Amino acid sequence: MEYDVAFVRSIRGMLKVGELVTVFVALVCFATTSGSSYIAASCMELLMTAALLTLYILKLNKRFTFFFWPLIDVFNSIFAAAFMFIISTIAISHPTAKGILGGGIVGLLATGLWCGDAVLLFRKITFNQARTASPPEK
Amino acid sequence: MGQSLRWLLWYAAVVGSTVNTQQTEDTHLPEITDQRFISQCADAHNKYRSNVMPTASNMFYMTWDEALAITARAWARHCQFSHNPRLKTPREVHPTFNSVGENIWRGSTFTVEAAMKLWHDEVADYNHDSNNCRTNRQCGHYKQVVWATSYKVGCAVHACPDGVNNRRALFVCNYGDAGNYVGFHPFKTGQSCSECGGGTCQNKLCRDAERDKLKRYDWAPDWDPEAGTSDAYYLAVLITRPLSVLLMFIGVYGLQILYPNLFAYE
Repeated sequence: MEYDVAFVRSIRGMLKVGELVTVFVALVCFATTSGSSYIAASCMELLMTAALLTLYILKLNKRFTFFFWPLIDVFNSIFAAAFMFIISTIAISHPTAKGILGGGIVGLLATGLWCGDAVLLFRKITFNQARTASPPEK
Repeated sequence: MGQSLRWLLWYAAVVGSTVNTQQTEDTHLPEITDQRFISQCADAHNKYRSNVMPTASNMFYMTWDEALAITARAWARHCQFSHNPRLKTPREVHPTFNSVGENIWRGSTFTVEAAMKLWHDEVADYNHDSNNCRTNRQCGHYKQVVWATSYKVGCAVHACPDGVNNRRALFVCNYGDAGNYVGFHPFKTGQSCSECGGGTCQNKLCRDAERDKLKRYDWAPDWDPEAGTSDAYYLAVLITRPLSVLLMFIGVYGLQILYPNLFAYE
């Protein structure tokens, strides 16, 4: 088994680790009081991002080329950012407990990291030309 | 490959189990709608109230109140071992009582009896003649339990995090009307039920059909940590997010067909 430890030291790798850390802190904040949906949401984001990071570190993205992983990653970051943004704004606008407010603020931080991750990776993707636009082959 | 898959599964199991243990721990503790829990709480209070020494002439029989229990649950969910700061704010803690009393117990193995006994045992530090607690001792919990004009009680217990792995139960009881007014005795001394002001007498406690009636409320305090995070909301999160992952994979697969020359620079 080969490990791509260098990925963790790249900017995108550090972003992923940052996302993991912030969403974990948010999860702990939410868990101090019991907002079960906040806990469920942050737990799922933690799981998804951890799965992607594992995929890169274990170089599984090179092994399973059935899916174009960079785009999966971009979409996941967008969904994660959108979800976390909604949940954090709800948490901050209804701060029923200190833990919920703290979790919301840290959640917004995580949202920023996901946005950065998505933009950074999307700029590296080229679509080349669409099949419909390509000239007929002979 | 097999090893990495196992690693992934193991990881999922570890992260997943933190959520699961929390749910199983919670199921050990009774809900506020649990009839056994309700009668345990009310009976324990009435037992101590009817056995006060000296005998009380105006001790009300205590009955369960749904709204007080909802308030107690909302405060227990904050997991703070201190009093709710809203106890004296009208309409923040109860739809009809303007101010409510509160007792809190914290411990690792919860039973209603254990918590109630701890509160009642403060009687040893209370002097009924002078209406004072012994210096540096607490007796406020005891006074609230036997406060004659508190005729409604609502309790809730919640599992709260304590350190990394442990969870401790936080047990909160709220009382209406509020007790523990400074300078007042918890009850009037005299022959049992001699100053009930109408109603009947049962077990040295004053009963009144209207007062003891169980009321139904549509009450939810807006400072409840789980307010707005109802089951529907919880389900929506649990369904939409995995659904978005599925859509994401289908979408990317579609894009790959549409743009076969997709490429990402390292």
